Amino acid sequence: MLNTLILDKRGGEKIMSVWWIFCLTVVGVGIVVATLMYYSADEDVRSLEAEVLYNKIVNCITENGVLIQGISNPEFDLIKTCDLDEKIINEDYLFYINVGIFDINGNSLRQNGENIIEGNTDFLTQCELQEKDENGKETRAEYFAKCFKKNLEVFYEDDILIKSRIEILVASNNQGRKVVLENE
Amino acid sequence: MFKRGWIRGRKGEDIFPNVIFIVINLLFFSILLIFIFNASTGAFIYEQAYAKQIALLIDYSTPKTDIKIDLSKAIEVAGKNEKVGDLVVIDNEKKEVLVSLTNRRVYVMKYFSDYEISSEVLNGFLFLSISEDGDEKESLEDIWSSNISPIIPPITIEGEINLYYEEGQLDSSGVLLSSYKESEEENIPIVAKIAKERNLNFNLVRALIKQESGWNPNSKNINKNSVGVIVSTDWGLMQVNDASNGPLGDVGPGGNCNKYCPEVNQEVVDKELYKTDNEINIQGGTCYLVCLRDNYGIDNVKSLVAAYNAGPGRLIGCEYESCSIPSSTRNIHVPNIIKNYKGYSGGEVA
Repeated sequence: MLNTLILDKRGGEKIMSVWWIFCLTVVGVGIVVATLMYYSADEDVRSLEAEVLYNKIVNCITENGVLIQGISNPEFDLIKTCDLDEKIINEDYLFYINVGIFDINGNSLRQNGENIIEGNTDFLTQCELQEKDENGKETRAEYFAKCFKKNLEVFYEDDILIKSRIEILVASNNQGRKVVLENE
Repeated sequence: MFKRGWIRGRKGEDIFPNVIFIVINLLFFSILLIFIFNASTGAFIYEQAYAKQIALLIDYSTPKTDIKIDLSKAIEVAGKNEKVGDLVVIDNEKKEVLVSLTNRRVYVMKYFSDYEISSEVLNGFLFLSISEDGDEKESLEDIWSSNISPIIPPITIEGEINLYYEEGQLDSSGVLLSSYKESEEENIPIVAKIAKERNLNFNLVRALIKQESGWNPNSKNINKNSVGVIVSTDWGLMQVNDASNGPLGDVGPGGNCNKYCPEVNQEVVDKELYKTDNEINIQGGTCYLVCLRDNYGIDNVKSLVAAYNAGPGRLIGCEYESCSIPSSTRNIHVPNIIKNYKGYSGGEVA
């Protein structure tokens, strides 16, 4: 059978040349490897997750467009207020949250003048690196956290309502994982 | 001509090797395509997609949210892989969603919200009930058993629903309530005919079909025992259960109730026509209702539809309220059917 498949015209009827079988093998192996790589790759939802986290934070620190009471206090606990899991954010280091609250002149409205920061601070650098440079060129790094940054104009209640701006940067590097079960 | 055109080419060369060459190449590329298709519909894809979607949904939710997720594709894939055990697990401690559709691996995705989540798989859907961590923990069983259900508000029957067919019931046949409206429209005449023949309340049968399958003729639900082994499958519009010691056994040849159902004969069982033929599926389902009513003596509407869902054993010899039936049957299945019934019989639309 193999002879019939690969013999040339001198040795019999040629159905397939060795060269053609080689081509098919290369194409086949290429397609199989590419398919396996493509379909076994993780679907990246980190950007989406960062956006969800951003929305969650905005919804929990504002009420009808007004910042909630106590947010300027240095003791303000964002994790607890926003129903976030302390361990996932601050121990597993899968997320980063940076919330700044400023008046219209850009001065911080927090009593200690600092932003609210939770999670993996390395992500701040990763986010900065990924931001477009002056030429509009973006640094792409597969293993960098995905970031979501947005500014929002809200009111801050300090006896009277003051127009203020919140800057929120969140990043997520939460990728699922596959766990192989041991055979029973 | 044939010999010259097929075996020999115009110049006298042998064409046969060329044909074999083409066939081998086609075969090769077909195998590749099948491989790509299988890879694209493999368990890993769905494990990952379900885990991530569920995690995102949890994070997107606020406390006191109830989520219902269609798991039909996961169940189908798990069935193909003969998966044993839970398909989806929510680990409240580690804040992880675990999805496993094969016996070989599990896909894990973390969520960042500090919620306490109760989960349960019912009729091909995953029900998640989200509360803040630290809230008094209640199982879904407790929640559904309480007066206020988070998913379906309790519904009482206003007035008595007649179990039997009555003239005039067909007047409201123009009301379509399902998302499978074409299927509903197509099958209503069959339901009307069979309900009349079997002396069953036409609108009650419609309400039951809407709850069982949403009028999706391809609806399929795999039933597993407590250790995750597949024991039976529900098929089609009326979700006819194929267990030999269950509904199909009762109404099929040799069953207690086959006297009511000459239509469900050996050919129907052998060829499994109840899976594919809507009329036979409705015959089987309605026949089982008649069986429950006339053979098992379950002649109360709530008890009847509960028995259709949970089996007659739990409903015989007790008043509906005191019968020991699963909370999902009592608090979701039965109220839904009553609600559907109201919609079909001209009451409040479900």
